[in-house]
Amino acid sequence: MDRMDRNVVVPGDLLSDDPKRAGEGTYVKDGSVRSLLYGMASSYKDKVRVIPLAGKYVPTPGDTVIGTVQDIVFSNWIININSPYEGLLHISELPRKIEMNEMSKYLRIGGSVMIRVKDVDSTMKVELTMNDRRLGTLTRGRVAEINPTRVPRLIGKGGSMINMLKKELNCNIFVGQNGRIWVDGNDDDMDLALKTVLIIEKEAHTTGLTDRILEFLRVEKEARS
Amino acid sequence: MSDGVMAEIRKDYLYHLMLKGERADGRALDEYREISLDTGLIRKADGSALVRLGKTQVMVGVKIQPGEPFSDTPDKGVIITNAELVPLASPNFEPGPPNEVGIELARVVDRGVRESRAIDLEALCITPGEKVWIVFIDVHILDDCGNLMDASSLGAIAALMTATVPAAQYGLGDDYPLPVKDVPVATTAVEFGDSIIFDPDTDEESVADTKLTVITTADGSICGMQKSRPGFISQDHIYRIVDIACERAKEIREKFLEV
Repeated sequence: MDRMDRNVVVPGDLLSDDPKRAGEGTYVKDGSVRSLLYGMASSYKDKVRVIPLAGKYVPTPGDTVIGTVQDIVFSNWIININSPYEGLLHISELPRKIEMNEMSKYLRIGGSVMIRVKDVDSTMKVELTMNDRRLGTLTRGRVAEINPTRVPRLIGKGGSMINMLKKELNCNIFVGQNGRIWVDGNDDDMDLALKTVLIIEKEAHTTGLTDRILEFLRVEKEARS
Repeated sequence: MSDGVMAEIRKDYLYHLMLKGERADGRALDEYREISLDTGLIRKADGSALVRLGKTQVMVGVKIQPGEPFSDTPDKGVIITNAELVPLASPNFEPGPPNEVGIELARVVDRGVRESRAIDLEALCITPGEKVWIVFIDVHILDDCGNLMDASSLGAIAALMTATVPAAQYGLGDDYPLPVKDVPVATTAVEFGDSIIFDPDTDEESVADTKLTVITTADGSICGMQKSRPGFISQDHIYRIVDIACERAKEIREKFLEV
């Protein structure tokens, strides 16, 4: 028995009788695949997976996220990544070499960073890295927070939604996998961008959203000029 | 982003908004979030109230039982106020004995009830020197999204106003409603830069240097004040806060406490 269509499932719901089809957000028990989460079940390639409808961000290696420096301890920055687990950024993961006594000069408590999850071990110790040209500290702009499960919708299929927003709003927008969004542009544009992001979060599950957002932006921009 | 350290760019944003006279959630500087109040939800309590102030949620329970009076006030009842900040309510709350914030909260709630003489302590005396009614006010924070003081104080007075003295249970005559003579309402403002912001949410609370809670009685007089946080506050600002606080308190009183 397969439930291939997009269905809302709760933990324990039967998804498939074929253990080989177990995908993300599922577990196998007694030879059948069941949901691990409350979310939408769907078929993806030859697997079934469950996309969560609610919940906190759980770090996965390779994710680019936005964090805030919580503390500086011996050669590490402790970074809040909007998750139950905090991230560690080691001094050696910076693009250039700095001395240990200069750590707070480079990145102080309260600073925001765009950062990548390098590794997550089984005890959920999260190692972060900034060793990439696209990563770094955020000194301007604004950060908003949405539910991490809504991030895929904000990005859209192949980036359709986010590219549209960037173009229409004349803003630099970055969406972290942890549900934090960084926006940089002029004041009015940033205001509108954050407002739009919140609408997308609220209406993430509805169809034809990109078109409606486009229309919303047109109306807002006309009202402004 | 409320737990622990706040991002500097978020602070900058709030400051920037404040200069324009705006707030992150679109409210006016002296505007309250939506308030809802339900009383009598807990059957086992003698009085209870659930207050929602925006996303802040506070449950207050009142328990009344006979006990011994303090030796210096043998003919007066006793009020004991307690605030419980459970870790479920906010990432900043830790399990264990109450911290500074919890004690301050309980004291401010207590001060409002006590100093407004909302409860006639003499009327709570059963036998002088031996037996009086002890009123326990227990404040449980269910969700901290800012301004616990106002929510807790409102919950406390609402719970007291709907409380019953369980006399029959202790063989002391018939049950009767707890006599409440005044309606203290707390109003809190924070000072941020040069602006005064009422009903602060968690972000606004964490960027502000100074917080002032003003408790007013039904006739508009002040029965308690509490200045929290390390910052200072000018006389001019105190007067301004008191003026607006009286107005807001009156609105809340009329709307929720039917006075």
